[in-house]
Order: sequence, then C-alpha cells, then structure tokens
Amino acid sequence: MKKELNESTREIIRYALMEAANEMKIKLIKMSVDTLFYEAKDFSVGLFNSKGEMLSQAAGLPHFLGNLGQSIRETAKDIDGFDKFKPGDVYITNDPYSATLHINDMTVIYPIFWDDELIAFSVARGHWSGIGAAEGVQVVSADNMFKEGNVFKSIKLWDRGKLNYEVMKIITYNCRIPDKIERDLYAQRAACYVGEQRLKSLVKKYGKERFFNYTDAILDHAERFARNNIKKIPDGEYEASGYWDDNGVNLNMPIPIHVKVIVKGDRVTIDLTGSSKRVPGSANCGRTQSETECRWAYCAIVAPFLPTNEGIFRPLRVIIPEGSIFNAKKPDATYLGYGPADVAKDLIYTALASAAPRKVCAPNYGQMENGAFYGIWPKSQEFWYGWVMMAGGTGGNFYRDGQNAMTFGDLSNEPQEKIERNYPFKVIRYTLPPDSEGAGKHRGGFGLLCEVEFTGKRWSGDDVCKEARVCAYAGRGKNAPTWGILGGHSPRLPNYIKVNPGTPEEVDAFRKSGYPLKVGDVVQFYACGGGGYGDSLERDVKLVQEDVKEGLVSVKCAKETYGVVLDSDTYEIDVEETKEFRQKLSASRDKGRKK
Amino acid sequence: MYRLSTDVGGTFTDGVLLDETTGKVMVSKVPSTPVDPAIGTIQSMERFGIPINEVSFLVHGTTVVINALLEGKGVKTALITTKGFRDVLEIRRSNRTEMYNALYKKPTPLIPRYLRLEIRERMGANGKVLIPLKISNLAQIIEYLHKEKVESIAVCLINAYANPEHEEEIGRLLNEQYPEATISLSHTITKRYYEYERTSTTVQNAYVMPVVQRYLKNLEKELRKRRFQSVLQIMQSNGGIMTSVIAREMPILMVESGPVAGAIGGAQLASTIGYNNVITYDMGGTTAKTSIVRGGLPETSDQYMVERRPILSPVIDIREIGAGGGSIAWIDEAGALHVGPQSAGAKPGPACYMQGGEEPTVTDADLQLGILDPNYFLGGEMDISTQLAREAIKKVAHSFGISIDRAALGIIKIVNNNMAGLLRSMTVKCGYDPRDFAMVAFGGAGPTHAAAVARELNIPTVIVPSSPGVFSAWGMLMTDLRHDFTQTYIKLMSNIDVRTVNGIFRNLEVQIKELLERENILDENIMITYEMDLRYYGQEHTLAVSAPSKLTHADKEVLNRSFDELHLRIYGHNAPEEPKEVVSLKVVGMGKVRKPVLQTITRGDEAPVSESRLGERRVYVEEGKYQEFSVYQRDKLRAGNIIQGPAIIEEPTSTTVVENNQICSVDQYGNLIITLNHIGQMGR
Repeated sequence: MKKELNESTREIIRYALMEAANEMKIKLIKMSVDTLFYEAKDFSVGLFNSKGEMLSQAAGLPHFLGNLGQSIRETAKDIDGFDKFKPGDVYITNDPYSATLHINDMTVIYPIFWDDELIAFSVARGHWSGIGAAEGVQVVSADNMFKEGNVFKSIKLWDRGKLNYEVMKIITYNCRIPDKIERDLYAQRAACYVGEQRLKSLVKKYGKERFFNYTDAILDHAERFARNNIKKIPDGEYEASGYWDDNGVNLNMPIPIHVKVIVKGDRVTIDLTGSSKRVPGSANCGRTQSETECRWAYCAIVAPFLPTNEGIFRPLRVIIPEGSIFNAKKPDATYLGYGPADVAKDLIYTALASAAPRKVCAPNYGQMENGAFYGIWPKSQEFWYGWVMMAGGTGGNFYRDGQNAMTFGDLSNEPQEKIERNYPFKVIRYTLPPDSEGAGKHRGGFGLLCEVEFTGKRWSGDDVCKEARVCAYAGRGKNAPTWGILGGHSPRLPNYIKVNPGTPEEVDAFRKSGYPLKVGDVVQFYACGGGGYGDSLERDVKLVQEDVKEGLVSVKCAKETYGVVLDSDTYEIDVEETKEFRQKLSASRDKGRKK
Repeated sequence: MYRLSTDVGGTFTDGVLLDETTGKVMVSKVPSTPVDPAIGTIQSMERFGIPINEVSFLVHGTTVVINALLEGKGVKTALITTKGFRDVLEIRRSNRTEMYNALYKKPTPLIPRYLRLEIRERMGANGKVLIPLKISNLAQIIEYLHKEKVESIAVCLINAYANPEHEEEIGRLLNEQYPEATISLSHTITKRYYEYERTSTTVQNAYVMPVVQRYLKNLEKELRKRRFQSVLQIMQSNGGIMTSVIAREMPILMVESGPVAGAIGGAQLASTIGYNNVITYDMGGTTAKTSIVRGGLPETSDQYMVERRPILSPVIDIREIGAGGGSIAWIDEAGALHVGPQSAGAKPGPACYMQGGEEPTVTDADLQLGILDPNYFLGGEMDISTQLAREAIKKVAHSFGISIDRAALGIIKIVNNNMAGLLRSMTVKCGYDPRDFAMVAFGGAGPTHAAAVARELNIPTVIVPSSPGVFSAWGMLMTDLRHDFTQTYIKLMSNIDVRTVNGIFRNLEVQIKELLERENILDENIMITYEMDLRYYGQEHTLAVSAPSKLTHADKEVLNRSFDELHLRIYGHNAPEEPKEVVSLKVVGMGKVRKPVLQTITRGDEAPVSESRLGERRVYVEEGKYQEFSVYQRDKLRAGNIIQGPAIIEEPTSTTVVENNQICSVDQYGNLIITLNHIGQMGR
C-alpha cells in the first residue's frame, strides 16, 4: 500500500462502497413494481470504476457476479470507446451473447462524472417479467432468440439527462406489461442515481486522487487475499464431467459438460473445453455468463466472505472455445443457458473436492425450478402474472449437512399469503418432502414440495379468470440428476413438475411454455434435496435417528441408505443389527464397485 | 409523589428515582437475581427508602426476553399451523445473503419439526372459510402436546391476518383443554400478511411467554405487597412504554426493552449538550449494545432480526453482541482464545464475586490488570476477591504458558476487538465515518472500555454521563407513554368510505385514551396523531402520511398530494397520475410526562480539588509494561476540571478509564468528556 494510505481508511471506503451498493438495492426494492424485483430480488446492483472493474456489488444473485462489468465494457466498445459516455447519459442492454444471463435481464448503465471526467459507473440489472416474448411472461422452449423477446444492445435511453421517449415507446409497446416495465426502468435508473450520490460524496470527502488510490488499493488487497488462498490448494489439473438434461429440442438426450481446473501457484485456469457444442434449443449460454458461473465457484472457494470486487478475479482465467454451448452466438436461444453453466459450476466443486475438501460443498438441487403463471382478468382486461419460485436442498460439506429448501443467493420466495392475494391461486402445500436428500456422511439438505391450485377467483371476489397458462421449467431432472461428492449419493428422486399428478390427466410439465390450465388444475413442483458429502455408512447413527424423529427420513431409508436399523415405533437404535447391516451394505457396495 | 424506573440487566438491576416535588434524581444498583429477577427489582426500589405507594409512575425495562432468545433459554414450544405448512418456519424465505458461502448455515428453528403440528382448516385470502376447522384434529394434537409436555403453544394459520376466527377458536379450545400452556395467536401480535415473518414473530413470542409471565406475575405480587397503587409500565422496543397486562400477552414487544431506553437517553443527553450525531455504547454484564443517533433522533426500523429470526414490530435500531463484564473467556479445540457470548451472569457471576464462579470473565481481567479497585466495587458495597480472579485467569495463562497479567490483557484485547467490530457494523459498514460521531458510553462496564474502543475506531470524543451504570434506567424516565394502534384497511383512495375510516380512527383513539387515562395522564398532556400508510397501486412498499382526525372527501386529494410530495422527497420521483391505495390506518397516542431536568454541578478550577484524588494505581497496559494511573473520585470533581490521562475515575456504578494521551474534562452537568489525542471532526 502506498505510504500516505492507511488501512483503516481503506476499510472505511471499502464498506462505504458496499453500503452504497446496499442502498441502491434498497432503493430498487422500494421503488419497483414487479414482484421479481421487490420480493424475489432477481436483480443485481453495483459500482464500478471508470474501466468497468467492479468496486462493490450488493448481495443479490451470484449469477450476476461477472457480467455487469462486462456489460459496461461491451457498451463502451459498441459506442467506440469510454470517451463517448457523457454526463447524464444512461445506456441499456439485455444482449445475452455479450452481457446478460438471458434476454429478460435488462441492464441500466449509468456513467458517473466528476468535473466532466468519467470516474465510475453505477449499474442496475433486473429480470423483467416480459420483454415481448412469443408467449406470456417468457418462453423456455424457443429455438431462436426472436421467440424469446426483443434485444436492445447498447441503446442510449437518456441522452445528457434527457429521456429518449421514442425509444421508451418502442420498448413498452412491444411487451405485455408496458406500465410495469416503464416504472421499473425508472426505478433502476433511480437506484443508479443513489449509487452516484454516495460515490460522489466519498470523492468529495477524500479527494479524487486519494479516492482512486484507495479504490485501487481495495482491488489490490482483494487480489492478494485471493492469491494467498489459491496457494493453499495443491497445484494440479482437476477434471470432472457431467450432464445437462437435454438439448432443448430432444428432451431425452442429455448433453455432456466437462470442466478442467488448473491450479498453478497463485493462479487458476478453468477450461470448459470438452463440453457440448451449441444446441438447437435454449440451453446455450453467452460467453460472459459462462465466465460468471465459473467466477461464482471460484469466489466461493478463494474468498467467500470478502466483499466482492474485481481484484478477487484477477488470478482467474476462463477458457471457452468457439462453437461451445458456453459461447452462444446470435440468434441462439439462451433462456436456460444458465442451467448447463450451473452444472459446470458444480463440476468445478466436484473437480476440486479432493484437493480442497473443506472449501467445497456437494451440488445443490440445481437452483433452477420455477413456474410463471399468467392470464387476463376478463372485466378489466388486465394482464396478470405470478411466480412460484422454488428452492431446494443444498449439498453437504466437510463440516455439516446441507441446508433444507434454500436458494443460492438472495432470491426469495413469494409469501404464500401474498400469492393468494395477488393471483387466482390457492397454495395447497409448501413443505419439506421426506427422503428427498442425497445421502452421505453429511447428507444434502431436504428439498421442497409446492402444490398450487388454479382457482380462477380474484381474492376481492370481483372477477373470475377461467383460463390461465403456465411456463414451467426445471433442470437436473430424471435424465441428468444432481449428484453427490466424495462417495455421497444423489437424491432419491430428481426434480419434476407435474400438472394434476396422480390423476388420469397427469402431464409432465418439466419444460413447458404456455401450458394451458383450467380452473381446478393442480400444479406440483418438486425440487430435490442436495447431494451427499462422503459415505452414508459413515454417518453418525444419532444424526440418522434424529432425522427419523423429525419425520424427514423414513425408517426404511434409514436402513437401506444409512444402514441404521431403528424400531419403527420408538425409533430406538438397534446397535447390534446396525453394525451388522452396515458391514453387509459396505461389502455389497464394494462388490458392486468391483464389477 | 415519585417517578421511578428500574432496569434489569443480566448482571445488575438499576434504579433511578425522580422526586416530583424537588426534581431531585437518585440512583441505585443491586445485583440481579436471575432465578427470580423480581427480587432484584424490588431491592433496587427499596434502596431509595421511600414508601412504594407514593410512586405514581413506574417504568420497568428488562432483558429477560432478549436473553432467553439469545441464549436459547425459552421453553419447550409447539406450533399449530394449517395443513401443508408446518415447514414454513424452517424454509424461511428460502434465501441467503451470503451468496458465495458454500458452507452457509441457516439458524436452527426454535421449534423442531416433530413439534410443528398441522390442523385441517383453511381460510381464504379474502377472509372466507375455505375448509372449516376440524376440531377432532385438535383433540389429537392436544393429547400429543400433553405427552410431549409442551409449555407454550404458538398458533399461526395461513391467512389469519384476513380472518382470525380459526385462530380464536383454537385459542379458546386450548385455553379450556390445555390451560397449563401459554398460548400465542398470530393475529393478536401482528395483523400483517407474510406467513413466515408472522410465524417467526409468533413463535418467538410463545417461546419466551411463560418465562415473562412468571416474571411479571411475581413482580406484581411483590409490588402489591408493598401497596404499589399505580400501573406497572414496561419499556417497549419502539421506545415507548406499555402496561404489564399487555406485556404479558406480547412479550415480543419488549425484546429491546432496556437497551432502547439507553438509546433514547443517549439522544436526549447528547442533544442537550450540543452533540447531534452520537453512537451509544452500552456495555453491561452480559452484552454490549450500540445504536446510532443522527440529527438528534435514534434510527428506527419496522422489522428486525434477533439471531437472524425476523420480528414484525417497530424498534429502535439496536445491535448487540454477547460481550459484557461477565463474558466468559474460553479456549477452543484449536487452542484459540475467545471471550463470550456465554456470560457468568449475576449468579455465579465473575469469579471475583465470590459466588462460586470459576470461569475467568472480563471483570476478573479488569480487576487483575488493576483497572478496577477491589475495595471500591459498587462504591464499596460489594466485596470482590482479587485472589479468585487470579485463580480463574490462571487457566488461560497456563494453557498459553504466559503470565497471568498477559492472559488478562489478552482477554481484554479480544473483548475490545469484538466490540469494535460491533460498532463498525453500525458505522463503517453503513457508510458512516466514526470520526463524525461522539460516543456516549454507559452501562457498568461501558466507561471502562470506551476509551480503548473509541481509539480503535478513531472516534474523537467519548461522553460518560453521571451514573453511567444506571443510564438506561434514567433514559426510561425520559420516555413518553406511547401506544400505536394499526388496523389493516386495503382500498383504493378513490373508493374509501370516509365514514368507515373515521369510525376506525375513533375506535382506535378511544382505546388509546382509555389506556392513557389509566396511566394517570391528564387530557392536556395527551397528543393523538393519525396516519395512513399509502402506496401507488401495484407497488408493495408504503409511506406513512399524516391524516386529519376527521377525514372528509376533500381531504382525499390533500392526502394524495402529500403522498406524491413525500414520494418525491424520499425516492426522488413520483407519479401523481397513478391511483393511490390505502394499506393501513394508524393512530398514535403520546402521553407526555414530566422529565428530569439535568442538574448542574458546582464550578471548580482546571485542576481537580485534592480531595478528589484517591492516589495512584499501577495498571498493566502492554506486554510487560505497567503504567501509573491517577485515581479520582467522580463525585468530588467540579465543572471545568481537566484530567490528563492515564487516569481512572471511580464512582459507585462504574469506573471510567482515560488512557495515556487522552484528556478528560468535566462539563457543567458533571458529564465526563474524553478527548482522544488525534485530530478529527467532533460529532457536533
């Protein structure tokens, strides 16, 4: 650190930048009108230096860990350089090939100036519930970009402070929820404004040059921190392979994913070569997004608790060949591209499991399972839509079991009471399904079972909607279930979504865009538990007994998977039989392996 | 007549008495009595030697609730909820805020799954019954609860906020058939929707209710024995007070009971002497707490978390950690030294209290280092043993192979660092620069550690009020009575029925006035205000706009406009053409009470009078290094006195440390103002 800088001021500025990002987040939550913003928090906001390097980012979705800065750089490229940004300009982009996760992620890029000098950027990205897709809120089964919605790449929406309303009209006219889109766009810009104000107050307080020196020092510190942690991982090349469910067109053909992690000294290279080529369906992932998923796993291993900034990622290089599913090109469909990218993320943990057993966790339920419902209120002709945001089990780790029904970031469910107030639905069940975990020495967390019934009735009683549609999707289903590590098991049942389960009308809705629902139809979402960590026969018998007492593991599964024999009434452990049975299971597993 | 406040902490119980005729203030401090904290409370009152029947106003603050929540010492509790939703408590909102922590762990639910029971019933979002309550289900549940010997039951049904009938029915039957358990019905605590947050609030209420009821019942019995004739007032988290009758049903409103009073006192004191931006720092026997006052007002929020568990009730924003005089120093499996969060509490207390405590605590370390005077603890009223403190710290010293002094210093450094982290979380991590704040330090151990913690954070000024050890109790006398009543009423502004709204306002107002009358507040001291929570239709978050007591049609437009203006001011934009929606109607009643006026002290010279000087004490300050500290007696100090550190200033309820290179001056009210030796802005 330079001589005139001191560590306490550096820390104050670091946390002030974090808090500025948090304030941006609060602003967006309070001002926005879409439930995906204010409730689910499917967005990300942050501050960046004048080169587009991340200074701070609020807790939101880890999916956006690398692609906000890239959005800035891509926009700068499109407009012929950073010097083309002018005070008061605001750009938007939702280009999935160069900037975002999918088309729905609208990004607002807000350059910040000090005495006419570009000093930083404020960025707010959020998932819009509709940007003109072929069907309803979104399309997950498209085979090209044009069915997924409209793309606005590096468009200047505010020119030196003045809104280009003609462009706004193009955006809003072409989607189903024009008012919400417009208001949320203003909310995103307002969030950026808050970031600008907070950042400028720091520049004012510490002086521009000192501020730059300190922000550089913050990034340098994070880089050193990351390098020190990388050095603790033994050098080597670590590989792992897995599958994503399908190519988006043929739903019964799993596609391969391969990762190689090279640790050398204080550097890490992640190579995605060997994964599937681009596919005809929507599982293609833009290069920027693929890199982001790699950053996520990398960050969780080298600096999980440090406030994130670009410095952490300086030691990381990601290799993605041309033509790869992880290098989508226009006009590939990309809505589900984060699914295979997330498999790659978990394969990074898997590859490093033996090299860094205390740092990784077993894969989770797959982080992707949702349903968007929509329809029209006949009387007011209002377009309504609502979400079921699923969670599932997380994987076990060195220290403990995985967590029950939890997402991967600040993505929150919508309260069931709110779903019933806002949409014509009744929630029948929202519960942890027993025996849904991946067994292991430290088992995965339990999953989530949610069942909703389409009632058609508006809660206030003044309207009835007789038909609705649902766009449902999940990954890691029966073709490519999630897995355990270091001997841990997969969950017994993979993810599924069904309409009217257990009736003659049962329909598999694992990947349906615009599936029609009639009044009384029930949609059942099942998210599995997390993968297991370590051998289930080494699990503490007391913990197995506790799970049985809690009604989360059945007496049958306790015996079959953990080798623990319990009295079916009192749940007392039969010590002798357990010992015998575990030996027997162990022997038969060894035999199975030898074959 | 007298006004009296008592504040029960984990270690001591404090009292402040205001003589209404003379305006004179007296203080007391006695050890807390954890087995029955009422005993300590009564003792703290009896110290004053006044007839209890002459107490016209009694405020009581207690950490009984927070301690039970933090230490997991509530009772065996069960939850009854709607079929299909027993896991809501555990699933929470399914999110996590530590995005990259692959090893993240949620807090364990206060009620394990086998005690979360489902009942067949269902209410619609519009308040209509979809499935009638299946009473026979309840009979089985009650049998099971009996078998499991459950002491408290939380009932939280889906959509009960819209229609509480089923909860009421269950409550009635439980009262009949399981009278030995206490019962918390979600709708009586909050009528807001969001099933997880409401369940969490109800469960925490239930978890501590028997503990609180036993406590209050006892206390009131003791008060009646002494012919106490007024109403027992309990300090609430929102900074106001409530009667004990309500507190018994809703202990969750008293989570921050004592600490909040410290924040209010801190704000009042600081603005009186000209500081508007203040960090309050309150270190007692069990915890250290902090709050932020900006522009003279404590920061507040609508919802908060205790151990990451949400509570839906308004609160003055206080953060705390388990770091107090009684915090126990311990060594983990990997051989690292930790301090707290476990506390030796009042019984057995620190080893030096000679009550059987054997674990080394912060107080023992302070005594070992020479900071505390063994002959002047609680003004000499309590005997403590240097020998026992030494014995306890020896364990730590032996394990590291270092001297006892060094071990004691290590304990103090760790606890100071923990507290600096706490203060950092309220300042630096919120983007505030501690250099822009003054610290008001209180609680028995606060002034002892304040200078070191302030130095760590570059806080330029530390203010130590008179009787810092009972400062929270003093803050309670600075509090007005406050009752908030809120009724959910969701309707578009254009569609509201003015008569219905006025009816609700009158109804709430009557309830509030009745309470204030019972609390001996004269009409002219009652202030009632009306508010509406509004939002743009389609938006989720609301803003409160003040409303007239009697709404007319013409007022709708006025309210709309003030909402637009407020929205612009807070969010930087508005949408006047958008329809507005009313979400709730609120009435707030304040009963203004007479407050103690700060008394000035005699003026003196710059140099303290010689009688104030008690001598010198050798204190271990750095590895292998001792310093001579001058020791002063605080009540002999005069306004205008200046003391150069290193110094120790003793008074019955606390000991203030002034470090080397720090300067302490005494202001006209007898406050100690410590200036740290570095340049920085003051909190003025």
